[in-house]
Amino acid sequence: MSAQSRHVNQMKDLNGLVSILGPSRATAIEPNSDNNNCFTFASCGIDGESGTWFGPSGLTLENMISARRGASVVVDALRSEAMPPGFYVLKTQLQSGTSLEAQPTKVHSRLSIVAGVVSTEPIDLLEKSRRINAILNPAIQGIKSFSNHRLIHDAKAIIDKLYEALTEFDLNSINKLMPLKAYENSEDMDECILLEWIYPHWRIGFSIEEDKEDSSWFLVSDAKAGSMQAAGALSLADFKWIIDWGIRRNR
Amino acid sequence: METNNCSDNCVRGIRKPEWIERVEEREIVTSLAFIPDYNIVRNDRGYETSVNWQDNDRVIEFTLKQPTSQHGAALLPRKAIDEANKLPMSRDCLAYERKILNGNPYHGNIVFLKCSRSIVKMIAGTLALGVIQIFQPQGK
Repeated sequence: MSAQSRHVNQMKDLNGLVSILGPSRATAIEPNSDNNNCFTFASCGIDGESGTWFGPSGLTLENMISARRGASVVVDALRSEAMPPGFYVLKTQLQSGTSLEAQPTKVHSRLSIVAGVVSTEPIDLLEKSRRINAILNPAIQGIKSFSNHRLIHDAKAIIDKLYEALTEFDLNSINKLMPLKAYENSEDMDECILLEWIYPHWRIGFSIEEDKEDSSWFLVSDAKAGSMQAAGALSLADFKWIIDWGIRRNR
Repeated sequence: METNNCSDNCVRGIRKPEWIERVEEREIVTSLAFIPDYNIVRNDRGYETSVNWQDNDRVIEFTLKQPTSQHGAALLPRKAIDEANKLPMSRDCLAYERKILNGNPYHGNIVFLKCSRSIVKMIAGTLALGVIQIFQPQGK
């Protein structure tokens, strides 16, 4: 029996799974409704870790900012989409300052194997995560060149929230969104970072301002798309609702 | 405010590369292009977005020669400002005027009146959606 097969068999035993993962981890375990002999799980380490998912074929899901989010992607995928046989390894690293998008440089060996899935269907998880990354990466890359570090920090936090919100949509919905763009307004008296989804007939913007009280979101559309306007404080934004509005514009 | 002698269209110089974006094989103006200049303090406490009124066929070429149009110029119908001014969230937040400068008889402003920064950003997005044509900078 290969090491991998042995590992998978071991994972089929919940007690064995818990002993592998350790009690300090946040672990989601879901029974497979189609097959009582299978279960799926995802586990994440302490808050503040960043992680990178490695698929069975060696594919890397880049910019997986938090391990907890990684787990939520898996669980979400398990609920809505089938996954293949095999198991997945989540390598985690301690978050280092603001370089969330950096490739792992220091893998914490104690936290290296923490997630897996046993199922019988083809996978869609990788595609979903890859697609979300493709939508957000232009903004992540864009803010790297900006100058105001506090605004960059706040913009990353908003992108983080957008990621979480996007994981709640299915792949078909996510596929309707174009990449998010980031712009820096470096004018005197109005320094801000603007994250914007720009379409010919509508747009959604998230404005990150020096004074957090001024940070806001907005959505607008032209007459062809209903002449709509909405805006609100960024601190109170319902990101899922805002994204859903955009997805519905693209139906 | 001199609003009666404003032409049907105004031209906004695209001063920065991030004011324009390529989307679905076409160029689109970003909301940043219409955010007003907060450095200029007006008596009415409004904030200005500078434009040239399209009085004649030469205005586009004139605008593109200005240093504030290094990345092109965007044509915005005055009607788009009027319509934005009627929408519930931006009602009466906008005005426009002609304000001739030395050497620029076409110059004017879109004026953002009494609105918070969040509403300014939203209105800037609305105006950007109203752009009907983008002119390439000279030499491109």
